[in-house]
Amino acid sequence: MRTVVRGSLSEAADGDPGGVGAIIGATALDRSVVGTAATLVSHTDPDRVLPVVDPLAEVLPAGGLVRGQVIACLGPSAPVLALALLARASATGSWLAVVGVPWLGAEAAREVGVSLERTLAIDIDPRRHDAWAEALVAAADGVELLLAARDAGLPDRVLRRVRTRVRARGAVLVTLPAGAGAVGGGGRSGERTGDRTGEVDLVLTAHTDAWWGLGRGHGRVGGRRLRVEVAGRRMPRPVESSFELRGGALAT
Amino acid sequence: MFAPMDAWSTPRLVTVWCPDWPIAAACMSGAVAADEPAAVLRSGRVVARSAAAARAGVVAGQLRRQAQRCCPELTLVDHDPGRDARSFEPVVRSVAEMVPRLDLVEPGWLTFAARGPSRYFGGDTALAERLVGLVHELTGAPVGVGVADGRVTSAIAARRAVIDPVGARSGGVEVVEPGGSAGYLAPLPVTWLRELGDADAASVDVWVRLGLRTMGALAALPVAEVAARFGRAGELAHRLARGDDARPPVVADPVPDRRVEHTFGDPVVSVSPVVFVAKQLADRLIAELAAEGRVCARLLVTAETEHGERTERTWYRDAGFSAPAVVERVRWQLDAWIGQPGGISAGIIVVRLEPVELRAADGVQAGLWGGRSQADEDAVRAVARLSALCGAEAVRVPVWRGGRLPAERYGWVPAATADLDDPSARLAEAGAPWSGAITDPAPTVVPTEPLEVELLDRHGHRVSVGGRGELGAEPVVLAVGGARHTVTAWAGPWPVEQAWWDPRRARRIARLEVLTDDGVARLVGAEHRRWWVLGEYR
Repeated sequence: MRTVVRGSLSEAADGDPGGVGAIIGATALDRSVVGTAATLVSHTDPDRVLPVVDPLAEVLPAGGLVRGQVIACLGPSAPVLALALLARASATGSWLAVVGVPWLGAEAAREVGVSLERTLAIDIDPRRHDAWAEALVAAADGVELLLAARDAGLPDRVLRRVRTRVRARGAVLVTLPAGAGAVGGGGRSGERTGDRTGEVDLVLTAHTDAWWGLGRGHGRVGGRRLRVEVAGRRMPRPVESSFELRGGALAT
Repeated sequence: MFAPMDAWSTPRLVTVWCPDWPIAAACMSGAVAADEPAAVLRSGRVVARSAAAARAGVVAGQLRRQAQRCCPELTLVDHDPGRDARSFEPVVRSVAEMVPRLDLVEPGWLTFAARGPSRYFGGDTALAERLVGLVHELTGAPVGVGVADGRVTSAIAARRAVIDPVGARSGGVEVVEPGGSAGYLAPLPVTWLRELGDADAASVDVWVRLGLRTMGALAALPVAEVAARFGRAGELAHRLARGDDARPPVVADPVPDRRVEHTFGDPVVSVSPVVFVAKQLADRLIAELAAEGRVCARLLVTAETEHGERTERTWYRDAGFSAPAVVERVRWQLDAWIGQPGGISAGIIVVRLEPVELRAADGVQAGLWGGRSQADEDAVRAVARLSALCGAEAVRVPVWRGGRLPAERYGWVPAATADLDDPSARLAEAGAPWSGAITDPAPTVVPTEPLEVELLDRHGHRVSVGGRGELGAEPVVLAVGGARHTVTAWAGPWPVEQAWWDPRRARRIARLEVLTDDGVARLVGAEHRRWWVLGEYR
């Protein structure tokens, strides 16, 4: 059981229900935040926080996906991180809508624990910003988990519109760079502009530091070491952690 | 003894049943050899096994691990409903030539009224033996034929005809004399009802614990007490145990105005647009029936091409069809029709759904998937809205197809035509190793269109793959769309031959796993001396 400190003062102050500043996980806790904490709750509240797999719970400020949150996954290994992030909530009954990410591997999703029974995909070009936003807004009405490819040139106002609905409906939006797929060219890992703006609650950047199993002319792609940096609007400084991913299971 | 049933309400039926049909279908498609121990898995559990596997102790319902423990050399195959339907098609065609009308329950299981055909072929036994010979000749698979009064007795007789696939019998015949159904069933264990899906496992367990071990014991109870204790489902089971049908068919002729059809302005050559139209027709039909408190238990599905070719099948579902169940049947039927040797020579111009048997909705038709949660309800509504907003083709759900290349293993079908309540058939993957498929992990990125790359050796020459599947040189550089990455590790190549039996679709691909200095591992494939990205581990 994990202890979570809820900073209710800052939450009330700027009307950010369930925002990243509201709930700060003990592991990622900065001393300066402790002072503002008003209440202690013994576990994460399922009505406000959707579960994530244990190792990721340790690095997320709220220990899970806070309803209403927009999370940007960046870096060369953003796809696998995004899937791992959504897996537990999907497996426990939430539906997942994948918007504009036709290149995402369904089998890899299943492997990390995403429930394909509750997954649907919406085929839409992320460069058609308004249609993309419309699809997300409609999906947020009935689906709790949204995974969308975000075009680099997406205007903030469009994302704001989506975010408003995501918050109103208590959904969670995870974005990937639209160019992360093979067809969009190499992974543009440096693509961070715009993601530090006010429309994103958390920025998770993922790199694969090492691959196991593959040799020079022998072996098989096996597990990998995943390095994840978590930064947020109200996190005083980014937190970096390292995980092992083998056979779809994430471990520290 | 006076038979407690009314001869009017229990028609005499012939059941043709092939045990472990998914295995027989896998054999016919060449996926497994007839004599090897093999099992078909769905959602991680055995649904069918070969005779050799049965001898080793593999049984239906077992988990993959348990099956492999019984039989370490077991070949595992994924369940493929489309394959089952296609392989059964020749049987349906041949039987349809003998009898005027037959009902398909599922691939491997069909029934028809015995009366006319039996007289024509010289009695029930002669007819049944003829069927056994026919099916065995067409499929090489074991088959049982049962003839009896009532659907359930006939189904049980067919199963008892092949009760022992471990033995040498390749099939058999069991004929229950007219009026003898109750006597035939009486000594049989009550667990048959669970086997056939006519009673829920919990009730059957309770009966067994209460000492009602045989059908006869259950049938001997006063019906009112069974109904009082076990409700509607118990009453149905009681009827079955007496040799009567649970839901007697409505004797009235089919209502002609119930037929719904769609005529295409432009002939359609692929399955999916027809399935779409069938979905709309099914929604309308089933909703109209539901409004009257009726369900359709037997449905005639017809499609015709411009050249007058036609497919006509009657589908039967004891509990009545839901709209998604109708759509699924239409898809099976069209797949089997278009996928047959020769296929069709012109586009489809008309598709028609015609209820042949209606009955009152008795409430015992809950989806297989158990109830829906609130999240499921919301999602189903969201699917409808999104389909209206983005176009029905754009909103999709995954289906397991199986295959050796990442892009083949999962496909996406329009959500509007999928059964969201019962995804088990569409996602029946079971995690079984597809022979020759790349094993875990799966690439997170699967290109949606071909992405060509250059794989170069240290002289800057393209790396080739020899005739026996060996690399011409060590790969040093992978060039992806202008970016050049240094190869730090690789493995392979693993050759895969696709559809070698069909020269038009045959492909030969050598797969290679390549890790480059940008930290990305890729699965690349060589075909016709060019390299393509098959998947990326991002």
